[in-house]
Amino acid sequence: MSLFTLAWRNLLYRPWTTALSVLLAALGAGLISIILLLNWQLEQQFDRNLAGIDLVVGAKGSPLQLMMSSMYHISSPTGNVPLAGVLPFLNPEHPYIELGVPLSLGDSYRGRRIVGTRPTFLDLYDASLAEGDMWSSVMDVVAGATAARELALEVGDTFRSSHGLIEDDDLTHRDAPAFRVMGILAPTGTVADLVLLTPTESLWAVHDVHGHDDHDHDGEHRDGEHYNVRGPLSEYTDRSITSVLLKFRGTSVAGLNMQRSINENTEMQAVTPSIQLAELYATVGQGEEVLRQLGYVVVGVSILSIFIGLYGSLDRRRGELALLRSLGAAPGKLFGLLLLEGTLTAVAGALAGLLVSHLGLVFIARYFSEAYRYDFRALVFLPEEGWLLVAAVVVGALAAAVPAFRAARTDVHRTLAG
Amino acid sequence: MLETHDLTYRYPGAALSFRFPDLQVAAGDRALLLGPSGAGKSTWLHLLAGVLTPAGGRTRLDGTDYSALRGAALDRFRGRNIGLVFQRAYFLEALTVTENLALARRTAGLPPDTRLLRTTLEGLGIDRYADQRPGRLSVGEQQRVTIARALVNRPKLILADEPTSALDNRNASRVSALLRSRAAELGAVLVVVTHDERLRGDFPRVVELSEPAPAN
Repeated sequence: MSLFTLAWRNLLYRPWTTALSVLLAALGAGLISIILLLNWQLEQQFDRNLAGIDLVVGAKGSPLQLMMSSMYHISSPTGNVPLAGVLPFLNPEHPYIELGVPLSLGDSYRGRRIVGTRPTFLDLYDASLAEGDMWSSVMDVVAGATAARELALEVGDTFRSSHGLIEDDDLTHRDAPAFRVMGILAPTGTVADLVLLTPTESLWAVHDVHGHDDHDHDGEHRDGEHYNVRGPLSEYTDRSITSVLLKFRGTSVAGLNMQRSINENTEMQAVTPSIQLAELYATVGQGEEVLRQLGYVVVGVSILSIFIGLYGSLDRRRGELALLRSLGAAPGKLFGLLLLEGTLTAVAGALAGLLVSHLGLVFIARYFSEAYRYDFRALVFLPEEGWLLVAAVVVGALAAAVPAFRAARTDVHRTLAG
Repeated sequence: MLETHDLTYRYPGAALSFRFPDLQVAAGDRALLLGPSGAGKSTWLHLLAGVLTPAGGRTRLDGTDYSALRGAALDRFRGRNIGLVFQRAYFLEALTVTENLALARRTAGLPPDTRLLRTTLEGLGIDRYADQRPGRLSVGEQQRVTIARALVNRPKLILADEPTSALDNRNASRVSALLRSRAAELGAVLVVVTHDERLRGDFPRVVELSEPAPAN
């Protein structure tokens, strides 16, 4: 019967008081931990997918929306821009631009976004083929690792796309040519895992037939045979794409000037992802701050609850504390006993809180992967959570200090003679 | 052998101090300290138990002057050598009867001995309550558990403070008999402090305490 066991048994002997204290500690720890976890996850997701992109150029509208749709493939695009306007950015000889990746968005297959682009997309996310080959003609698809796994796509499979991002039979492009899977990418841990890649021309081919475009095209493009998916996009002048992702050569002032110039002089807008992200974090951070404060308040209440629980029990336990002294336990043992009861309560609460926050994260992860097709890791343990447990020990000891001090000073003679 | 010499005690801030008669009780022998309430019986017992430190005088058990011990050394000495039975039966409420006994060995720094615990409980006829919480037992049963606890460390001195005052005649004589027989078995000194006249006949030596006397 160690001091630890005795403390444990004493806590179980007052189940309701203990339960209340544990619950409050769990609530506080859980709140703080889920904030830590969500924050970490979001920044991981956003930062990993930043992929060194310096500028996103697309149609005017909400800058956040342009960034979210083009870089994270969440929410719909702001609109299209004429290809002619962005062609200079796609020129590999451009003095300031290291890499320009064109994106055509708007269609999907069973909730997975189809991205019309050029092979430079793979360079952006350091992606490489795990199976099959790169596309060689219109309607060829290279699938991201996660997308391929979840849609059970294999090389050689064919499918028809639908309009927008939602899975809806009515929106399927039925009479358009089918896509054919040519290759599957190795996992990268970025958005490249989540999308289906195809040459830019494929989306035009789909819409040529389907007639989403407001005008009918010349017959020569209709069957897609005449597109050259290996050539530069500059061959097409009357087309539109959604946006361009740009990586500058070094950190040039010219790049910043380019952004201002695009925003002021063209019908397009240019967005700097790092600035947008900082603004987004600041906005999210306010809500997070409120929740964090609430977490601290709950922790404060839980300290109070542990304190009251122990202090209130002292009167009833004076006899048994005096008994322990008479049996040979030094005052330090009594101090330790109460301190242990406090820290055990707090640590049990913190553990329960961490458990609940991780369970919560599993549900949030499920929601995110269904709603946004995003991979969220639920089984992550952050070093901060270790600190949360250390903090629980401190909090428990703090709450128990005064009752423990009083317990240690139990007057054996007066109590037992009484 | 328990010996006391010139034992006095003064409560902090009190004008009067208690002076207690000298005691000499041999191992296996017993004494009854009888007196009315307020005569300082519990004080005397707590001095003998090392719970209180005397203002003057000596308490010696088998040659060890434990009135000179302080702090942890005194706590350890008490845990190992003195078995205490109090007026009210105190327990660790969260623990079972057996666990309460085991804890007494633990706090005294003695190794656990489950067989000794069981035979002690059997000897007092309460082994069927071994796994129950003491709070569920009757007052008489509880008092027997506290006697069992006072015995598990095989003490040299057993001190009992009003062990029978809350009990009816039948239980009182039973508790008295148990205390006497177990103490004799262990070869321990037994000192009982009480105002319970029923016990007078059970003890060959009775020391009567009167009102507190000025000690100078």
